[in-house]
Amino acid sequence: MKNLLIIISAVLFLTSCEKEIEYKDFDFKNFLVLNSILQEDSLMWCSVSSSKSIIEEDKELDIVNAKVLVYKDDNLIDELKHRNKGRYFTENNIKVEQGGKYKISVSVEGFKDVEANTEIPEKPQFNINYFKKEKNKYNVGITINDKKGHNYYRLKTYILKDGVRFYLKVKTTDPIFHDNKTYVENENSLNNTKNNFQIFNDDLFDGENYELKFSLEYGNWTFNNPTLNVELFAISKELYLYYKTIEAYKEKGDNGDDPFSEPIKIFSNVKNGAGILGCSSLSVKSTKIN
Amino acid sequence: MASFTLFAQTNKYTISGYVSDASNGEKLINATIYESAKFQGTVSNSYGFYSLTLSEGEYDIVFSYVGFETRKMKIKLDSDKKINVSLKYKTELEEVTIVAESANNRLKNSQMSKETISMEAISKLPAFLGEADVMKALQLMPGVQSGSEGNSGIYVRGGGADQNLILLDGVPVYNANHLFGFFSVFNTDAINTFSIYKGGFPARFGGRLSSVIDIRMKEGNEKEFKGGFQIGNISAKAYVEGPIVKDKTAFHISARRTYIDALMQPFLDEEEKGGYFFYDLNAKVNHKFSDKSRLYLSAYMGRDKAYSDYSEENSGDDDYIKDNSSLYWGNITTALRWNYMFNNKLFSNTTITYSDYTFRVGSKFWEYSNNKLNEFTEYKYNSGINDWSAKINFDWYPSVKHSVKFGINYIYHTFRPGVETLKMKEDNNDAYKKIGNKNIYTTEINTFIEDNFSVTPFLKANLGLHYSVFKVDDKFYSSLEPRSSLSFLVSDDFSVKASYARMQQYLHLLSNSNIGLPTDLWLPVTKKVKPQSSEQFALGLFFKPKYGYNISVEGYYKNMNNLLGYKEGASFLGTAEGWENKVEMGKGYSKGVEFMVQKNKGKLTGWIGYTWSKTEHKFPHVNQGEWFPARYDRTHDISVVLTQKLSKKVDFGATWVYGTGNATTLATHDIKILNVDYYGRSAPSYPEFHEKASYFQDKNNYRMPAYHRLDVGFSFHKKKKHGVRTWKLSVYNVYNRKNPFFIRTEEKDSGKKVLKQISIFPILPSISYSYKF
Repeated sequence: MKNLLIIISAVLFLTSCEKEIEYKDFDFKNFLVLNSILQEDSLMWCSVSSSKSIIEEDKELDIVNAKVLVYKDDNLIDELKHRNKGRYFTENNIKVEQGGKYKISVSVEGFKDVEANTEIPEKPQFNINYFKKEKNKYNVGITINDKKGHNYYRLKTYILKDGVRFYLKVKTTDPIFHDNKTYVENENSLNNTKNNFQIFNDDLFDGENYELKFSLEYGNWTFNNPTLNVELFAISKELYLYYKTIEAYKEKGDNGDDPFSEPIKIFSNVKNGAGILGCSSLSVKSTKIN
Repeated sequence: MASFTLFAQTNKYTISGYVSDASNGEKLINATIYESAKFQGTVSNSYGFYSLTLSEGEYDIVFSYVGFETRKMKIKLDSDKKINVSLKYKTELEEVTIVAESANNRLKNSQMSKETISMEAISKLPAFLGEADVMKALQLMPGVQSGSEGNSGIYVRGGGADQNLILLDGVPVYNANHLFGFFSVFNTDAINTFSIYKGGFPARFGGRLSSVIDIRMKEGNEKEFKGGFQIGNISAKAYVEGPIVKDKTAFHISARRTYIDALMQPFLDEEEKGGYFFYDLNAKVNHKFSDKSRLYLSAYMGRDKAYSDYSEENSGDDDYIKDNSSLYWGNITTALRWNYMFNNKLFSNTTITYSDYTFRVGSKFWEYSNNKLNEFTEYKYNSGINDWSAKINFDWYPSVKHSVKFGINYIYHTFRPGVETLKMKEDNNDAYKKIGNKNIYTTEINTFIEDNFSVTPFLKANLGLHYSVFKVDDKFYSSLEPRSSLSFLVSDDFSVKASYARMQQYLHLLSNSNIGLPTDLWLPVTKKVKPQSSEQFALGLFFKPKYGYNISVEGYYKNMNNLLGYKEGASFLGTAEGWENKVEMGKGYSKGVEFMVQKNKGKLTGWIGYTWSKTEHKFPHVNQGEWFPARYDRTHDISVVLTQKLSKKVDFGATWVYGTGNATTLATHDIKILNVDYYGRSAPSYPEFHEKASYFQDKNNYRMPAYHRLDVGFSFHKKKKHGVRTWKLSVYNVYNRKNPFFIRTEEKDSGKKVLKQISIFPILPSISYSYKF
């Protein structure tokens, strides 16, 4: 097949040539990039950086002199301070509250001000039904008690060993893990999404209880009488979309091996800039092998 | 001269018959037939048939057709008359006929947004690599755009490549490309007429949103045997036609093949054999049972094949590998057609058609060790579509004011969305894997009625309805589509036209390239993926000043719904599996103004076309739901076409085209992303998980450099003992413009990215030799 493609290319591009051209009539002005995930009951933080236009050489992107203001329900509640590498933290130990509507605004001289909004979701409700061992994997079943309305989730699982969290990848054919489509047990199938961020929505079980079954492969690790910790995050819609586009982007790469695929635009909810202000609320449940 | 005598009685009689070319008996489509006193008249239909009903009296009836000598007949109409008329080609003409429609027709017809180019003009225009091409000629018309460099695909009034209904003798052709789109499948030797409708679609057409390209094959010479051949840079072709039974049965056969494969052989290694070629074959035979009844059988078959055989010895004679691959695709279309004239006012056409498009990929790999087969892998991929169709259409001429068409069409589609088969044999273990979807069978029925009528001597209208139903699985879709065109003759040389058309399309083309690759797949609508639909409004002004000029200005607005768009990151590598998950439905609009100045008379003929247009799309999850310019949105599009008979022996043709660059997406910045790792660790705990990624604000945010190109061609004719030979010299891209085929960025060590443009065709001279007898 390779030879065939060479021949086709030869036919097509027998006389092709490549030359460098100028970027014309294009706005390469840099803008601010704000990234933050506010987690309920955790301290507030964000990172602020500059974009780098493609016509510039590599440079430091972290911004250390930004004025970062945090608003909750339209009231200014805090100013985050720079700690290192463009990361800003609360110095007032203010924690993120469930149900709060947060806004972060950032001003830096020479850039347009940026701002973004998010609303902290309620903690998700779920139970672990079973946790069983089978050959080189654990089988787990959980039931999610979904509330009416659009909800977005992220699932993480780990086993604590010697104070270290061993995160295990969730494997399941459940459609909710695969864009709500039937999963085809075929590694070549284009239908199958990897879902590395382990995110899903409630389109198939809105307002209902839903049992999700999955397995966790632990490979060469050995765990004696392990305790499984299941973390279920309720995440904001913006964060869900951001993860989706990040995953697609990482699958494809900058230019991608496939020149014919559509380019990926990384999701952003930051006005006048780029980046993400997302949020999550976490529920954790633990269980022993049963 | 007053030649019309008014009688007291009101008896009406009908003159009917066929208009044909005197030299070969080919029927003349859209020939004008009118009585010269009051200019009451009609035009011949797609089979050369006409019917004109007038009050009893004496008339001078005029028969005319562009490029042919006008014939005038004095007729005393006191009973129904059958008059078959043959028109003679103007051999002494010192000009090139550029359009196959008379200026009067263009001015007075209710039809607007229709363009024709004569086959004579196409033969005079510069030819790309020596091969004249009707689709590339269409790209020179305002409102019709080419896709990328050298490509024969067309984009009409902001529509996609899949929104063109291409009909060869009334049969849909699904893949009109040879050689990855650089040539169309239509051999000019086999074509009698062709025209394109960009809007104002008559009700008889349906099934695509943006255009109808109606191509009619030659029927065959009823009078005498004729033939010819041509040898060009990369291809050769020949045709022969003649009577089987004079004036009753005639045939036409033409064939074409490229020899790129033979030209490539010297450049390939000894252990490597391979190549590429395409061929096509057109054949048509027709038999006249009587003046009332005629049968036609026409067929087209075309194939493209790219192949390679490769073998390599690793060490010694006993260890070696072999690799054999091929790509193969093509169309077959056939039509069995029966024309029957029930009476002098009712003409019928019954047709059974078959159309098939097939694409196949195959590869085999052998690895031998010590002369023993170690490993064998075979891969096959098959996809395609075929249609069986039966239709009956009627042309009814109840009076001189009305020309009614009605009919019904049944189509049975079979979609083969792509099956991959993989066989493996390794260490005596066999494996067999088959991936792919089952065939999809769908049924489509459409029916129509349209009336082309004169409301007053100055106001003409074509009103019609097209109704279609489409069944896929247990889902029914239907569409009632009103069509209307109006023409108001303000003065003898100025008319105003307006049209409205609603269209619906039940097929989608899944394409991963936009350059007409054979991997593009046709798929039907599903429960989830709904039919595309559009509404188009157009308004036009038509002038016919003196000295053989035609001037037209048309404005249009088209909205499109349920357009199929690919989700960001989606790609189709030849398989349809899971395709519904990778697309989403959106909407779009296109608006534009098209100017055209044609010069039809004099030594120098040709046209200048200019289009201003804007086309945008909107999809819920693409570009964050914001409007963005369509890939082929082209603000300015200009074409200048000139043809001239320099002498009886030398013709000259030149074309110059200019187009705003295609819209493409360029990542303009690098940004830091929150690359929360897959196991859950994230910033701020792990700041190293901040990564850089390329970013852009808007889809299709960058315009490639403008496209422009000049082509010229000279034809040198000489009369020989048995015929005429022609040397044709063409130069493509005379001033060697490096036009963009695509652009990409390349990162330097410094992190700076430079923009690279890839161009494929520099100045390309070509020469061909042809002989016609």
